[in-house]
Amino acid sequence: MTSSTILENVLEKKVLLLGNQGFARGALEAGIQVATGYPGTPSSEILETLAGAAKAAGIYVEWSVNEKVAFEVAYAASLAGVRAMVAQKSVGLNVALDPFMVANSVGVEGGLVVIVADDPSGHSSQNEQDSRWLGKFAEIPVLEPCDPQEAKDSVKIACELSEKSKLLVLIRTVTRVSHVRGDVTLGDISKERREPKLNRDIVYSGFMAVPKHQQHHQRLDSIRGELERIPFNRLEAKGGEKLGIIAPGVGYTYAKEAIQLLGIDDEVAVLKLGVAYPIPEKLVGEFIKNYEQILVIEEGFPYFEEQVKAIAYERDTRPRIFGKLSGHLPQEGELTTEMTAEATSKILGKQYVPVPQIIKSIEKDLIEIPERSLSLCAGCGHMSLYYAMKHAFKGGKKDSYGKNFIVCGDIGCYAVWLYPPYYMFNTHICMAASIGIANGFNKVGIEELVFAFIGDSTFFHAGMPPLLNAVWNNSKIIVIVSDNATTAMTGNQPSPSTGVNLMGDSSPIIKVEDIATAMQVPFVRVVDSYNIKQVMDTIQEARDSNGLAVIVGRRLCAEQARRQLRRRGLTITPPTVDEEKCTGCKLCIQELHCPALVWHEDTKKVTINPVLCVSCGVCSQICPTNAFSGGEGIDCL
Amino acid sequence: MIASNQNINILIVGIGGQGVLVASQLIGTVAVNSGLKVRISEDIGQAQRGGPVVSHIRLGGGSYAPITPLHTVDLVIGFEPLETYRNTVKFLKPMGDIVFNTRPIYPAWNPKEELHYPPIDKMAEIMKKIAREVIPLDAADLARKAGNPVAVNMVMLGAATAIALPFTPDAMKGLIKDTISRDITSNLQAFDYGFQRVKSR
Repeated sequence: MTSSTILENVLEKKVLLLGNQGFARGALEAGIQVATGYPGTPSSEILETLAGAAKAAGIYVEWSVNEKVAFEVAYAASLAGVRAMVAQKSVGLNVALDPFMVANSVGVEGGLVVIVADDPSGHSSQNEQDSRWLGKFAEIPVLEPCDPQEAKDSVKIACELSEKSKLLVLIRTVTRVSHVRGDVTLGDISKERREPKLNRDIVYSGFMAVPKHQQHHQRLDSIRGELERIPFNRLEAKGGEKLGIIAPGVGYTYAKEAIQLLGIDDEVAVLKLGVAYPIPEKLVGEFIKNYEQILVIEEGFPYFEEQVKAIAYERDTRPRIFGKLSGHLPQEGELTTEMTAEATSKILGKQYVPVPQIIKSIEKDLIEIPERSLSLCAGCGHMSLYYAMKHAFKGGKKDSYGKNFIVCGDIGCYAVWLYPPYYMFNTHICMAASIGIANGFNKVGIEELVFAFIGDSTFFHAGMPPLLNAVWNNSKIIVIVSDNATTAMTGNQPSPSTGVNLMGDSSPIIKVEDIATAMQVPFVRVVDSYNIKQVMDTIQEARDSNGLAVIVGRRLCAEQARRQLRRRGLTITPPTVDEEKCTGCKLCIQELHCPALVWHEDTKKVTINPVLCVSCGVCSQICPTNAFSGGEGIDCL
Repeated sequence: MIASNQNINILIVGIGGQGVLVASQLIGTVAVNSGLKVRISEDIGQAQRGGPVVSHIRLGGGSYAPITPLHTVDLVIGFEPLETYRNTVKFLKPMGDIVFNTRPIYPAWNPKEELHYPPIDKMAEIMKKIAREVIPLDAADLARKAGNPVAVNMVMLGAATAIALPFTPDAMKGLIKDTISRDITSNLQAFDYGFQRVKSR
């Protein structure tokens, strides 16, 4: 559905697009020639969609090793006069902040668009942050589209603004724009393809910060007027309303829904905004003059709410300004229609009943139902490493989860271990922090053995410097790298361990153990993640080596394996369970939580779901009564 | 059809792998082709690992927010009974309709081991207190009869078309034909079985 739709050039045609597909289409309409990024929810589909059309469109799309590199690659394209784009999630922009905060003042040549996808409520992130502040911090224009149509339109608008002002432009999106599908009217795909050319008479440097900064401010001033007039800004007012709502970005959709729900269309005026920096002071200033009460409905921190107060002060007008700071909306978590309706009705003195009477009346009849817990996929290599780590050492002082060692965790599918029933991680901070923090625990002198657990993509992203730090500063830690040859959590994107890049071109397969050896790590071993005894023995050897150790567990991601099997028309023969030998002890289920293990309440026995099983053989290895046997495995790949 | 300032809210719920997203995109595309405003939000969380999938489909000019407000859904299309119940009590409007597949998918493991999967007729009984119509069907069986055991989503789409989707069966089947690349005959047959099963209730 997607690649062909993205390339379709039937002008004015309406199609169903995911917000992120809208950004990809927008890139084609804007004439972006180089697009880079790193996978991260909720941004990953932007580059994935564009990559599907890259060869046909004659453009270059790259997953870079991390967001800092991604920014630098795209920036170079921009300096060469070509339009470029970077896409990443919120915390990804944090990684790119170093070059971002110099390029802002040094300026661009070809339009440079940076798309940052925030994750309010942190559904798939280690935090929730409002990246509009990063645009303000960098003093560059920030656009805030509210739906898939605006997402598409924003890229071309951003490119034109960028080239006019010579500033890079930030587009801030959120989950409820990027991951929403909506009707989008297509525009014309740009046929312009510029020849890259670096002006070698200019030195693109941040040096001489003060004059650079002055020039930066002049460039910003030159487009303030135009930013007020962007079509994403729109006043919806008849006059004489009791309440004025300022609704930037997706906040607009919640505001309109609440107004409709409460039936107060005539009582509320709405200033829809799609520019977050510089704040459209004229529009806002004119708006707040007309109402005694203002409510700001925005996704994120009270960004507009704070600045609207400053604008009011400057214009000598004193409406009461409500929002998150006033306590009408929560300062944490994402917006909902219910909280928006609650806030609006409270201010207007209206009644709002979110739960209909009939539902209230049956509340006592509702039954408690089981949750579905998180688990790794059937046959996941991380899972067997988890089992081996947990059982590698007997004795020692155990914590409340039965562990007698410390594990610094990292970003990836294995993050599931933060939750019940695993509870494997003691820390879980950011990309490759597992190794950095493990370093620190060892240096500060914690008595327990310290592990760092990290995947291959995360290792390539940011794990090399802290490993080098461990060598150079003599940290005694055991680093377990689970290499499944992919970036799995975000949707199985290729990584330096896969053998192919985003353009589909083959590339060398980089091996973690080669890097560790080159760094002179004293103990480097490669193990078969599925071989429990081998992994446990190696972990014990690593501990006995009394120094820095890297153990690489290698097995292809089970989901990738299942896909490859399907594609090649191969089937797996799962192990059989001997009903006589199975005592129903549930050890396999409790230790592995493998979705392919099916517990039967009636027979009190375990069977295997052949659709999910890849015959990794781990259950066979750990069953205390040897009830599993046979199974033709995943080694055929 | 839907008036320009009205909307219809549909929820499709199920487990990752059942085809919830394909079904919701099909409805969305038919809607766009009919000139309707469309907003679909997908909560897919742990779908790859057997977790629940919820798709909020909002059709018509009267919808704004990406997620359906609580207790405003007109039609719940449930591919799995437990997820149908879970989302009905949260999102179905009083006198809304429910059509659901009665074949359960048991949780691989749940944090409260003492909480068992409730009896389906118990859940249906509670849902009947809110809904106008609660229509159970064994979509897994109908899909198998159609020759395509994984086409539960097609059966459910057929069922939904027979009750509350604002599109004709021909419009839906036309798009299925254009979109699905494999097993077109059995997929369309599955759709028909679902449609007939509900139409003839």
